[in-house]
Amino acid sequence: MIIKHELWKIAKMPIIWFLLLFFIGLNVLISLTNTDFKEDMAVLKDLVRNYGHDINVEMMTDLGDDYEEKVAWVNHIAKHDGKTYEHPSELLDTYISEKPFNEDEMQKLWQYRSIETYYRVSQDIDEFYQKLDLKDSASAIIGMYGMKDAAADTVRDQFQKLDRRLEELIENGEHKHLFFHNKVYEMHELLFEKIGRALIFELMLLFVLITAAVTNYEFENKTAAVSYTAKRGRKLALAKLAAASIAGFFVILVLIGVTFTTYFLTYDYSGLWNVPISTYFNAEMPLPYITWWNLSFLEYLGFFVLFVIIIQYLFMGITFFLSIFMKNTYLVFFCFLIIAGAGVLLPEIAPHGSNFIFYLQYTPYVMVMNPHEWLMGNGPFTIYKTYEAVTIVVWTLVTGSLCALSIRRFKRMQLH
Amino acid sequence: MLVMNQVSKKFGNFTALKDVTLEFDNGIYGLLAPNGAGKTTMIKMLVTLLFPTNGEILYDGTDITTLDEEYRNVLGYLPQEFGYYKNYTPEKYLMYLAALKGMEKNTAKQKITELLKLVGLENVTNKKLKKFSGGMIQRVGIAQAMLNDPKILILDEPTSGLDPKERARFRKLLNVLAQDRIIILSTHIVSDVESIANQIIMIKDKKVLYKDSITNICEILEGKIYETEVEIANAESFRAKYFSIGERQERDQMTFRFITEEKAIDPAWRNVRPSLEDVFLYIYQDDATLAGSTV
Amino acid sequence: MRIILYEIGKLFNWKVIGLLFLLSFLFYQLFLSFHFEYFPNGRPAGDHFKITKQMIAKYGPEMNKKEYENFKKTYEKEVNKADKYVASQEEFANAGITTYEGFKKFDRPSNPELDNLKAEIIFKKEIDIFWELQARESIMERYEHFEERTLTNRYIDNEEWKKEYLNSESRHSILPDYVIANFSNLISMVGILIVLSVIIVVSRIHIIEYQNNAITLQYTTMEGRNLFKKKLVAAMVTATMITTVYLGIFFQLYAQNETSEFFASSLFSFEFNGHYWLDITFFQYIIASVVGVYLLSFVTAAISTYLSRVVWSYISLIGSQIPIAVVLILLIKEYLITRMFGMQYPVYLTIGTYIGLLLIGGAVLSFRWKKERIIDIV
Repeated sequence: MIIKHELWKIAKMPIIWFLLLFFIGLNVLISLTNTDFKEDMAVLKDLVRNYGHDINVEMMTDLGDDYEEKVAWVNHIAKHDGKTYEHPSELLDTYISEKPFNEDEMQKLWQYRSIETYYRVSQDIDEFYQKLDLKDSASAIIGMYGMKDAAADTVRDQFQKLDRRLEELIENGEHKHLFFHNKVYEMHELLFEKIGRALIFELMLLFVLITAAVTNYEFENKTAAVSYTAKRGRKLALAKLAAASIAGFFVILVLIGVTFTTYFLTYDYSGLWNVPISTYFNAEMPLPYITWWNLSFLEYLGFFVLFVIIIQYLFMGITFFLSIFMKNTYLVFFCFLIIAGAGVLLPEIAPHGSNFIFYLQYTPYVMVMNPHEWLMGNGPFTIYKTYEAVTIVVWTLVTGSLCALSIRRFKRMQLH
Repeated sequence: MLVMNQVSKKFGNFTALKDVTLEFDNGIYGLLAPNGAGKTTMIKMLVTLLFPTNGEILYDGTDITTLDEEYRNVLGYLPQEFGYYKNYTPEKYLMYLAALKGMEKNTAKQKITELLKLVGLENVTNKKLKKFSGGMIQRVGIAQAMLNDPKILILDEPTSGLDPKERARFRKLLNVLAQDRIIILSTHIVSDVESIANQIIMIKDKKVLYKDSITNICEILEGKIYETEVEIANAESFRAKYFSIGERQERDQMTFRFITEEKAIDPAWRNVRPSLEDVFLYIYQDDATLAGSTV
Repeated sequence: MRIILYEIGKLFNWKVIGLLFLLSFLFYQLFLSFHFEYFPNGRPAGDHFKITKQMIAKYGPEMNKKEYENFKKTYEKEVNKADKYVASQEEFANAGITTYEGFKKFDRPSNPELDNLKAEIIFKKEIDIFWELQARESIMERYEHFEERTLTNRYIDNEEWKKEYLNSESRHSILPDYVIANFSNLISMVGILIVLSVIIVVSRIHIIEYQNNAITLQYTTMEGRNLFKKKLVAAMVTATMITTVYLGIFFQLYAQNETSEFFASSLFSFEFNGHYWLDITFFQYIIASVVGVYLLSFVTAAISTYLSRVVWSYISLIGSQIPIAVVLILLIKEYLITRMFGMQYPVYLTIGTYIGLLLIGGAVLSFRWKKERIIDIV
């Protein structure tokens, strides 16, 4: 009952609604940045429908036969110059500025070029993984960050573990599935890094504002003397936390819901939901994404949402703690941001030779910086298999105790 | 001379004041009305915070909106609740307001020392305002209103928060100041104005009801105020019959102060001289805001 | 004047100053320090940097064809030195490699052992001459081909500009693109820091009066509603102060990047991959960026002043400033400061956006001032 009243206070803050709308608009804009490639990506959908996403011998033979036909067509329309073209791209490169073909032909050529990419890249996957040596990756990272001693050992150690996982991954064939060719389209980056990070920061701002505003409400409206002397008294703080949690969940639902709906309506993932996220086609950097577990795209997306929700509630707990002691939204807001900045900065103070450089990464503030590498061995500093789990568990305990402590302290606090 | 000429104020569809015509000369005016009667609206118009919807307010014959700065230069105002910066000392705070009032720095400094002494704060000039009690803050407010030696001094509930000693001192101060300026005191505490105001202005139903001296106003009830003792058992029926404006219990009897149009029916009734308080209660008897109030 | 000082004084209390200090520290550590510490970033960028500076000392900000012949001669001399070094290396001599040319062309499959040795010479021993030659070669490559590269550049869809560029004197100016990129990155982060600081400080200007219930008192003094204007002046002075202090400190720090030799070089340099619309010098570009930062600071101050007057609570204030901060940051990173006058965007877009922002700032304030004069203070 009392929670309903507290919820009402939140719902009556126009600024929350205004911000929610603004963020939705922003995310829609970010979602639409890759629409240039939409037609190109449609080719993949056809391929998956015809051959499935699993790249195996049978599928490659079928696709190869089909491809031969397409190459024949290419040579057919190019017959005037007397050369033989092995691939559509060769013809396109030759006539890049002249464009002697009609519109239909051009369109078909571009389409075939996309098919060519998928076909030829698929052919090269095995060779790529044979050559892939994680020791090189480890050395490169050690060199790049100037690591020494214990830190360098840790990196080598972790990459060894990742190497075992890589073997398993290859055995499972997780790497051989058709997916958006992300070296070009960078869809993983768009969804999990650009949109993902934007979502996390937007939700963070909303969570901090909602929590701080409702917790400090009585002090800022000069009603504290009345509210906290009523029968329920200081327990009101608990109701406020509950109300903030409910409002927060609503905000998450709306913002993530609208953003992902826009995204998946814009980019067609049908047929791709069950593709392992570690497939070679998902790779954007020289080192392909390697998850510690065999996860499909859909599962990965599920974990992403789950982590985002948990982390937001961690932020809520921290904000609640600050609010109880500061009683001023303006102050709490900036204080939170400063702490967040300090959290990101913290690992920098560790000497490059010590393992503290890794330990200090175990904060939600660092974790939210690279959501596209969650559950993966790709972030050099967050390479631990259990990084996400440990961070979440430890910080849930920390913020849980902070909240409990602040509620208890609040009961005995002198209110001026 | 300050003149309100057929002034009306509307907020949207709501009329707060209607056709108010008043003249103010040097002297102290007590603006008396219950809360919500339009008192604050009137004052806010006099201090240029609100603008009349109809009519005009003239100072020495010119509209105060036209006078603008010139008018505010001779104005001193103490709002009901006034703002101050917690981390300022009274001295710094008054220096700031002096700057807003367009005073020279040196003149201001001198005046501030003088005023702080006058309101009895000379020993705490360097303490931060957040450490001040309500009464001390109110005295700072009074000092601030007098900073520019205003020709028109408008005080909204000036004695709230002051203890009896401070009130007495404040009244004395006003008497001295009233020699050569207009002082308008708004209050719903009758005793505040009773002893010092030359004229009382009463507002009812968005209009000015009376503007007269206390003696003249009290005459309205001359011969209509009585006091008598009633058995407690009969108190209820007595109340129902007469308009009681004051009761107090003495042993097993109740002493009633009440108003009646009838000539003394009962020999036990003692005719008493009406006070301003009596008039106030009589006039606003049907006013919802007064319901349930006792003396 | 006194009133303005008082108003400025109210904006800076120790909490706000502390906040600015922390914010600046975080910003420096997270976004700025890298561009000071790692400039120019590694080799051969460092060698390139050194050589271009030598060139400017010798040829002035531009290198004409005649001077280029001289540059090539210097290159030959350096190659001779390198030849001697290679010849002096027994292992290479044994394999029949006695010249720099041979050393350069030599690749791994033919002799892995020797390739390791080559890598050791270059990466471990860091023999300067090989790095320097690499840098010189890249300069020569660009100098010789920038004209045809420009003509065939499909991303520049403006023949007029191409003509102007290729006919300009400045096309031979010596200005490495990473110098501009480095400055542009730094100044845009500083610009963002300034915008955020102005928001934090100036946003309180009116709301403190509302929160402290001081407006009735202020508006009945002689100054009266004119205080709105004085506060606006105070906001602008504060924004100027913040901007000047931050920029002052920034340029002190920037001095350590030692790029002053390039100040007279034009953005029409043959060294560039990305191009700029205007034939202005690096120094003029710096001035333009500084002007841009000041304008943004004023716009921010104007909008903050307006919001501070129309919003009643701190949470609404923060909430309404978030979209403004986000939009300004995105614009700064996109084309208002970063890539200012770059060819990725039409030049009128940059100028138009600045004018638009100034108009918005001016419009909301004049709108509010008109209202402020007649509004009932209830």
